[in-house]
Amino acid sequence: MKKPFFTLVIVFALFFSAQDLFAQKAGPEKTKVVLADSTQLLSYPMDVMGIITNKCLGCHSPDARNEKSRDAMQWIQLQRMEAADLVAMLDEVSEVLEEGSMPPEKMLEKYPQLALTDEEVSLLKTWVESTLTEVLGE
Amino acid sequence: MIKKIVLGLIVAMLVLQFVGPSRPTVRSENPGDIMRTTETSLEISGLVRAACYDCHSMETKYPWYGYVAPASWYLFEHIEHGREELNFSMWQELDKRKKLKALKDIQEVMEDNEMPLDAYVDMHPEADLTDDQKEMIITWARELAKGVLKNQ
Repeated sequence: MKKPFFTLVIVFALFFSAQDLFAQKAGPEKTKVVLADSTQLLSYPMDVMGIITNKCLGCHSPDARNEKSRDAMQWIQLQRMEAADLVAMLDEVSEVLEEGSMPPEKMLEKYPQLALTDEEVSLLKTWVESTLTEVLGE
Repeated sequence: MIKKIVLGLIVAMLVLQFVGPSRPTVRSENPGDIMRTTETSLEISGLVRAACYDCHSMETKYPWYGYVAPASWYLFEHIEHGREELNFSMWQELDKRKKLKALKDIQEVMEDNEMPLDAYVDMHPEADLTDDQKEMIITWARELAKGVLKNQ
């Protein structure tokens, strides 16, 4: 009696994991967010979103414990910014990525798993540059 | 003995005047200056010049202690650093995104009362901006940023 039930569960599990697999292979999915003062779109490819979520949001989100990092930048604010401010913020992100100054050394001593790999830095840089080009209309 | 010490100090001070870092250059004609390349009111221009230009432009006006080492060294370092961060005289050389970044920085340092530095205001009372004047500079920077974004 229990056998068909388990078979059904396994079939469903395989079906959904296969869908996940196909979704990943289909290329980066984008979350589009409308900017506050323009019709331009701020898009986060899933891979970029993943890096930001795993390695940046711990300190740069509204509920972060560190006041300094919270005040310096919150990723969620990007989507509410006016275009001019968004450019300024992304330019700063670009500088930080170029300098390799984030996450800070002190944080990495405690949580070495937060270090950005070369591939992640490259993905973020590409995203920052393409977003800047889009917002600046260049 | 005291005479020798005083003499030694005087000689040391004299020697200091000829060594140390070189004075950051001053240039009065700056065709790419922000005040010449943007539509900025005389009032704002006056405020920004009084509060920022000694360290953030090529039009530095050196005070008397800017000619006496070692105090002048401290001053030179500040000016070099200030110009590196933002040089209003070189405005036209910045690309669009760097201009927007600079204008955002101006708004932030005004909002946070970070600039002008307290030490500078102590020696330059004309740089002591009121809250209204800071607000005027913030509004100017914000509006200018919109213009830069639209290529004006």
